Amino acid sequence: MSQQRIDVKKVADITIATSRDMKLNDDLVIQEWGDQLLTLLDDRACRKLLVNFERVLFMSSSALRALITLNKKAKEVKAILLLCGIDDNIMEAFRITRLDNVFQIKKNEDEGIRSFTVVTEK
Amino acid sequence: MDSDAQLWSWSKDYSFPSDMNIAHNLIEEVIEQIESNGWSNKEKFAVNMALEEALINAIQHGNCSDPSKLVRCSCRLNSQRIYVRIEDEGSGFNPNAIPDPTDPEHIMIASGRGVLLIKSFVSRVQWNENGNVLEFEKERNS
Repeated sequence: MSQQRIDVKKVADITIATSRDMKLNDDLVIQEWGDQLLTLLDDRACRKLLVNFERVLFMSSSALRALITLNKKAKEVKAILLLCGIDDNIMEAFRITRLDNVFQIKKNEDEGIRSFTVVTEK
Repeated sequence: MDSDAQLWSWSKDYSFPSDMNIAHNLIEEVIEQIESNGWSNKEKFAVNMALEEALINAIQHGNCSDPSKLVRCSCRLNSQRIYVRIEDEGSGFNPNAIPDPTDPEHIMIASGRGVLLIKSFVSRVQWNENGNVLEFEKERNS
């Protein structure tokens, strides 16, 4: 039985998924985390998704891969995906891989919520 | 790279089956040593990332996660530098043949970022001709 890897809440029509794990580097953890995020997009009411990383201190390229899969699904279902709360060190990995140009990344949850009113799909 | 062995304050040689759980225990031990040598959070993260990606490559790509195949890892550390050597039993690969994952044509491809992350987070990295032995060094403040 899989463990809950995200905490989910709704703010108006925005779904906020906060990652529970401090490290996203274990294959099983990443699989469960990625699947739970993908499942959120199966719900037609979830078309604005904010993934909050404020508790995450480390993530491997496998977790980046899972995020790319999530981004593809978001585009397929015409959902807007935003990331927030990314630690400075992890942000460096996004910059190195240029994934900071692929994802819309906000500093924190409040900024993420606010930006949904002005954001357009990349 | 490992030319001045007398200067290391900590060193350890590991040999273990192809299992990422064992690799994560190894990484924890190295990170603890780095912490006790006063390395910063940023430097710790860089070493963690390089070790994680190098061990994923060795275990999953090199040894195809076959637990009968071993990974050998040597770590040497002092207050200013860490040296790591990782060897797998796979047939090796050519790190230069991996498509640039930052190229707009490849950026949405799911894999291929590990080698880039290793190269970016350490000071020096090299593979042997076969591609099954990786050595890297990370200096503090680099």
